[in-house]
Amino acid sequence: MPHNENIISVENILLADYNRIKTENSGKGKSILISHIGNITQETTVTISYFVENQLELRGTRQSLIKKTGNITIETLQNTMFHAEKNAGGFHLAYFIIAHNSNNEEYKIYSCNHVKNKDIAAIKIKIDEIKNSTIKELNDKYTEIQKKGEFTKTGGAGLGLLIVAIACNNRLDFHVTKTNDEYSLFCLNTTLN
Amino acid sequence: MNPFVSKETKDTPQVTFSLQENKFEITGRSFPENSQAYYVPIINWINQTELNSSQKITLKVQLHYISSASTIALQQVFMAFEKQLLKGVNISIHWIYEEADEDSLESGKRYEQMSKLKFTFEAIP
Repeated sequence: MPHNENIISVENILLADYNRIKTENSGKGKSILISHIGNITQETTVTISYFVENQLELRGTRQSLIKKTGNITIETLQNTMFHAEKNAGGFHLAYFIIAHNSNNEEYKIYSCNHVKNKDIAAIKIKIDEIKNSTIKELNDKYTEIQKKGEFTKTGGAGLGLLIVAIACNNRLDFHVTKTNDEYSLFCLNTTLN
Repeated sequence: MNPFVSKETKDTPQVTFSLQENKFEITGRSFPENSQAYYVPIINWINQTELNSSQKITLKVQLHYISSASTIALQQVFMAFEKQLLKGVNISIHWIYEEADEDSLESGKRYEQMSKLKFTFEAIP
């Protein structure tokens, strides 16, 4: 497939998934708090995190939930910033969405980004390990990593996903969509209430 | 040694370490793009400063958000202050959190468990 058609195809897959989520979260009692598709920078992270916090406060959301949503927002966006693959133009193929369901007072946070196919297996193992852990085990793992006080290349030492899992009480899930021979879209969602 | 002052921004905390004023605090939000780069000068200041062992130092920490990378960096800050404690400097940590923020309290307790520094906790409305 010619290079440009390949890029358009990947972008279409991302856009289709993004629109699917927005459609699924519209209707009675459901709304989108924020949606972003495209490059994720530190500025994006700052802007979105402040916006999310303000919006939740305006809705009268309880403080502990605002905090958890904020933590997941920052970790998820910075994870994309540091780890997601960029296209030939130097931009992330990524999205970030927070949806609210007033029927059960749940917030769902969706994030998606491009990763290399060769990295997918390791990511799946990591997330499956997290999903199969109790909250106590997650906290113990968090403590173990923090105690070492060592940075990884991108700074987090692997704590980011643990913070997300603990904040959402391990209500997280993921799916992978292969876009071509080299890349897949890795999409994570977390649920808070 | 000159005080260390770093002004608060949207993603980095206010950091004030002043021997002259006996004011030591880290307050605000901490999720810079590069936490390691941001905190290294702070840790260097702690390591290179002759702290007075007769002076009681209380580091006030009040962080609304702290990213995973900043969590590691703050651990390194406390480890640097621990080295001073072992030299006889009277230093403790005062961890301030919002009443409804159980995660922040838990975070402080976690640091306390890992540290030889004495922690006190204050909940604010």
